[in-house]
Amino acid sequence: MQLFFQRLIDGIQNGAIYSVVAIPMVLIFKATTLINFAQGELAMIGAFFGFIFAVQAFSWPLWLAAIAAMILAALLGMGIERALLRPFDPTDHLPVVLITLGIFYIINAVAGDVWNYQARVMPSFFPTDFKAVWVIGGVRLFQDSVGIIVSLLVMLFALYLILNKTKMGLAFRAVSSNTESSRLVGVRVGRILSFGWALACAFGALGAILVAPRITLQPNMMAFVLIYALAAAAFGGLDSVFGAALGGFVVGILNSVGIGYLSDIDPISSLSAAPLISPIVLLLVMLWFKPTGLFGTKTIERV
Amino acid sequence: MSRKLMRLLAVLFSLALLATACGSDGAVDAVTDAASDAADAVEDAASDAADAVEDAMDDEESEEVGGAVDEDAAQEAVEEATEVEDGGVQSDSTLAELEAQWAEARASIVAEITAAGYGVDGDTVTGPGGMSIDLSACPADWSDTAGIADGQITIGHTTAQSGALAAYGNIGVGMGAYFDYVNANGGIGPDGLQLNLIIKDDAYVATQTQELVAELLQTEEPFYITTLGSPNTFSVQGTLNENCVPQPFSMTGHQAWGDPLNNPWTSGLQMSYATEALLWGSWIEQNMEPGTKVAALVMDNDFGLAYEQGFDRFAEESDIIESVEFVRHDPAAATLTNEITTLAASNPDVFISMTAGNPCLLATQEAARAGITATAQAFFQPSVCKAVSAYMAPAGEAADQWLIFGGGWKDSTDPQYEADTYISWMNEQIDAAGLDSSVSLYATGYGQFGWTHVQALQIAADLPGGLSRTNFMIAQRALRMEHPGLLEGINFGMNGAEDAYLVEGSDLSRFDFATQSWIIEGGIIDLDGQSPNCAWVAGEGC
Repeated sequence: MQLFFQRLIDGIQNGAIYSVVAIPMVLIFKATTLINFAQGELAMIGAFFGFIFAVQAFSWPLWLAAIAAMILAALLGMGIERALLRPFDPTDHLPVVLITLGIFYIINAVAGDVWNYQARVMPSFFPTDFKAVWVIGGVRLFQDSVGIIVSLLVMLFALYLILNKTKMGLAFRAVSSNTESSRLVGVRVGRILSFGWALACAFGALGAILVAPRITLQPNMMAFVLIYALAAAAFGGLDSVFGAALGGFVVGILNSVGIGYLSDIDPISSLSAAPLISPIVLLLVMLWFKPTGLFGTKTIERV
Repeated sequence: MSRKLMRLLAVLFSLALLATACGSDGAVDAVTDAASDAADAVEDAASDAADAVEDAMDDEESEEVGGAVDEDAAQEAVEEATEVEDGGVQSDSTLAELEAQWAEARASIVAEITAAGYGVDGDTVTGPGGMSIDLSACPADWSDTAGIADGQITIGHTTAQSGALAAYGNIGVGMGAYFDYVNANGGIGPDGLQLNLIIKDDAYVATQTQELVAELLQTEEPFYITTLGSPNTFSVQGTLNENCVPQPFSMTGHQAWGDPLNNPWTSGLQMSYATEALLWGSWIEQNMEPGTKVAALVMDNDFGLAYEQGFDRFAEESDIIESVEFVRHDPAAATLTNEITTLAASNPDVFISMTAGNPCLLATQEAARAGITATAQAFFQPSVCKAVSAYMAPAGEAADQWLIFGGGWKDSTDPQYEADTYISWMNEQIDAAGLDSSVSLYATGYGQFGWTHVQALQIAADLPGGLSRTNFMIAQRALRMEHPGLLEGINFGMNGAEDAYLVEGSDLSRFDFATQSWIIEGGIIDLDGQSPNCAWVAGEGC
């Protein structure tokens, strides 16, 4: 039983990592109805921006480095949206998705060239020492993981305020709900799309800075996380920020319990991609039975 | 500008973006796919390894598996290890004196080969230790001096520069930096031939390696091609041997590269993974009580599985080891929490990490977090994780007291070797070349592999007839020198068809967090000449 609770806690701790990548993905989907495959790499580069300010070049305190990295990442996001995506017809998804894939490769290769693939030590807001563990009834709870989960809740609250209590947020929700009508009532759609990308990249950078000390800072740090984050976003509904956050935890728990108990079963134990089974099964089940996800907006088509 | 035109421009631009991404020699392979592709590609090799071990176990008379020393020899060697002082730092000679010693050693190898009359005799290449290569089956347009033109020796190298295991690409870059140094300091042989290293990125995907090697053979026609990764080396071993193109010093510790009779053009360099697994087993036999429980974290590819099979075979015959829990992890996994939780639940007395690359660091951290290092009596890193700056220092106090059979190599990022003539010189050169000497794999390429390639090439160039593929093969199989990157007491050499492994020894070291150094324990173990050849057959093993 103790092992089961440990797996549950492991799942929640890992789930927070998936959530922080899934949330920006949902923000971009809300703005553009586009799945951004480069989201993981954009977050990764955001973490490296933080590394530049906090370690490599300036030795700034981490909170200041994180703010600077978020601003830089937001500018990068706006630049990408303006220069690479806006010229395309947003309803024609194929070229747009191809571009996000291109961005994925470019960012990964550039980061590999600049910072090398050997992992770097990223400072953390929370104690990362292996002794920074609370043991409750034999179950180990890591202090930095609790820190990441609390930060995630703060991020969600901040996003709620930005989207619901600001004029920009209102416009963002309007565009997200109906682009054409918004345009007709005078919302400057282009500017709102830039805002969406900036917001997503800034929060992506913050998320990556939070989790980098846990998963090591290196160009491939998001390779696996991206797959889990996709499943998390699809589970919660691609346009629900709250759903994506919850989805992260569900994927995390399914995975830790799945690896723990299913991997003893013979055909599964010999599969090389066993850790990917739970997110992919979850993705399939959701797309089959509830394609809009748990909290996604239902689309109603009139004949 | 009309919207149509904008759209066209945008499409063109996106194509350009993709082309840029593809531009770095195949970097287009999906990063997320690379690990699973590699895993798929090696599945055959892995199951072959399993079969081989099973076969060996079925046959009760067979005490040894090709490529690994037998168990008694391993145990004896662990008991009789020779003591080393001051961590094996060698600072008595200057670099100039070392270079003079190497030149002398090479000259004596050249003299021995020449005196014995080894070389090409009709269609057969003869060399020491019963070495014999049949040239009659080589392609009609095969040339012994292919790849040597205009004062240059062209050498091909496939490696992972993208994908989950991209860090390994640093080895080739480090080797290239050493080649540049050699070029600037006289080149190869009396004519001062310049080394031209062409690196191709296969993202650790074996099918890509095949395409890249085919492309290299058709376009550049290099003097030889050296490959990284076990699945990748397997995937082109047949092609290169059929085409009589040397595949020297493969960057993988699989035991299959020691097969001079069937695959004479292929060789390896490092201590084999199978031998390392036996050393772990031998240590447990000597230091633990009966009823010992072992937990092992295994990287899920042929590299990790080679360890797993080797150790499992030992454990099944051991009276001391009661049980072994193996848990595999994906090479690209973001965290190892789930796997380590399972291992911790088995309350191991001994923990062994059978992984590589960045997971070395993750495993160190997570094993400590899960309390394994507090309760287990011993915990081992694999030899490939012997890098203070890359894996141990970043893990903080969690890295304290880990044991390692380090394959005999001095860790270039261990501060105790700042006093070592060769290591300190090498780190200066790496920094001077615009690289970062704290990236340990640069030193692996520069010192371990680069140095070895150059010694073999220099010997070949001084043999009668000058530099040729056949002379290079003889030089390689006759190579026996003191490698400056190895600890004293580790022999470095092959002997034709009789001894096909360069390194068959190891140190046993313990990481000390306070000094950030490896402290050698129990001395140096050398098993030189004791690993039998491994005639690897797909589906059967050695």
